[in-house]
Amino acid sequence: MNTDGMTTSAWLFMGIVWSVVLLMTAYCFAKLLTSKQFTEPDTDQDHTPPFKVEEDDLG
Amino acid sequence: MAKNERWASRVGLVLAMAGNAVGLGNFLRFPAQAAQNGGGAFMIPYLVSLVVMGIPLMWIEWTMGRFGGGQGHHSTPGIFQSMGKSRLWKYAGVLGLLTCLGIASYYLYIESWCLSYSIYSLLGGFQPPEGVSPEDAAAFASGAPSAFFNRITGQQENQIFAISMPGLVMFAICIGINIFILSRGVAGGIEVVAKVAMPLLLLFGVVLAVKGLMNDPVAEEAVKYSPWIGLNYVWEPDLTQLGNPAVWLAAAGQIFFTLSIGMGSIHCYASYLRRKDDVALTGATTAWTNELCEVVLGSALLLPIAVSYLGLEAVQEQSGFGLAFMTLPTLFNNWGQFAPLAGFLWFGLLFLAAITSSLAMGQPVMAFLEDEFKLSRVKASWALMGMILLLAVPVATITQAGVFDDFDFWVGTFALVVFALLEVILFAWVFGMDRGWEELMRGAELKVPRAFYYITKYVTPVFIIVILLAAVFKPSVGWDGFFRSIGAGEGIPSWEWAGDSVIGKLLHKDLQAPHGASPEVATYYQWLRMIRTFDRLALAGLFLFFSVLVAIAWSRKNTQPKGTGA
Repeated sequence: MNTDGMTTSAWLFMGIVWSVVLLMTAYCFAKLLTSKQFTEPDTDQDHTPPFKVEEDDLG
Repeated sequence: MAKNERWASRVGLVLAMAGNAVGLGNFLRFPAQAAQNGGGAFMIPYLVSLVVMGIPLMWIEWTMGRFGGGQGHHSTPGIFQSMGKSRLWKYAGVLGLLTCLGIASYYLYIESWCLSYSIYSLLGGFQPPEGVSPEDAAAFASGAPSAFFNRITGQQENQIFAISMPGLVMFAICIGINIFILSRGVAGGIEVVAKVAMPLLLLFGVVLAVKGLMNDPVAEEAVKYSPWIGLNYVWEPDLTQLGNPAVWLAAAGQIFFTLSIGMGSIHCYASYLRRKDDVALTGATTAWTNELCEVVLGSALLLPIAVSYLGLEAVQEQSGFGLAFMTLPTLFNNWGQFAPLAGFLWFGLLFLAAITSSLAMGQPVMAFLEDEFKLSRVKASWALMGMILLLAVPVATITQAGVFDDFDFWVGTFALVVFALLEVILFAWVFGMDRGWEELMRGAELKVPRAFYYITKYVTPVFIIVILLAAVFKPSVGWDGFFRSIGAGEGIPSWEWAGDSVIGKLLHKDLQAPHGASPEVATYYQWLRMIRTFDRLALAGLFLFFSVLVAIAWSRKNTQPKGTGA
């Protein structure tokens, strides 16, 4: 692969940004796939609203 | 009913959310914006906007969606109302339906182009017939994509109305595919498609990027320049442009487009989560997956391939759309036997990116009809199809008059920013940042840095207000020209609204016939202004229509005996 045309500063900038993006994506997916909710999905979560909303408040 | 639906798996949810975010903007708009705004200079404000606006808004929308879902609402009118005390919030939430439906009407049209181009490429339609002379082959190759474009859009010069039967048939097929998938439900339709489409999209992108970056001007006669010049242009940092407000505005605008924030689709998808399901980590994963597709793949595809054959200057003169649909099919012919497959992969990639986004635009409207009017999923999908068709007909037939572009400006750009401002105010200031933070952290599997509490409360709204004001009041010399004039001690330049500012658009500043234009041309511009006025009235009518539906739905709730309604 002939990479003529890329300056050192472009290589550096691209390298930093691509590394951050790739690492963050990999980190998030790794954390997601090893998370408790993924490996032990909780099937009996209650569905009650976190904050009770009165019917009258619904406008 | 929508309230009983759930995502089948967490990976499916992330892929569906990423599919929602990854769209045409990643592969067409991003390289075009980067090229028009100084390449590397664009990337710094882009990344700053991502951190102070994109990611906070992403978390806000996920949190609001899960909260509203817990109250039985899967669309923004209900979600907004469940978080705000005032009865008016549900009408602010109508914007979330308007943007989704308005964008879907023209987005599906482009999606149908991608499908048509993809099939036509695979059939070898852009390749010259065998046995013709090299001159004829070159002439065929350069004219075939634009001829095909005119064939599927029916466009002709100086014609306001454009009707193409093949184009309309493909459009109808695309709408049908979307409606069919949506009618299968969240887990059985959207999630299944996302699980197939997202890996395929990445595969297509990587294959094309590697092949494109291997173009070698030394070894191949047709390749004139190194593709790395295109990549260099995007990544060469130009710090002198950091003071240019126009570059900051363009970068912030791109973040809105790319993350699909300010639309109501993220709220809808997140509303199918359970109360203790994490939103912090899944939201961040979605945002970074989108960035992977945009910053890495988006920068390594269109520009490098086009630059290697045409040179940087020629590429800078073209828009992302022109390059993608008119130029690239011709350039792929230089790849020999791989050309039909390359065209199929490129347009297939665009189609997959588009369909995963258009599904996300349809679901909130369906969910609204299911939740608030108790329509079955099938009936809701038919109703959605009817609404899309009503809007799609002018988009597809009056393209030349700019209905398409006008919809894109009002519902695809301006409304997104207004909606985002309203939701950040609702979340951080009405619902309350402390409660909002508690909601975000419920079940969180990622420790969100406390700095985001303050960024979300103060920086994000201010950032959006600045973008909004700059878009509404933009002068004709542009903000860079305006501040340059003041900086140079020349005072405030004489004020005239820019044609692409909100006020300039309202005053039709972008549709003034040139000085000395013939009566025919002047009449043509008069028609354009009239059509634009009608399409805006149609959008205002759509907002009113949804507002009336919301009013009816809530008046029904209030008349139902307690305990029997949602």
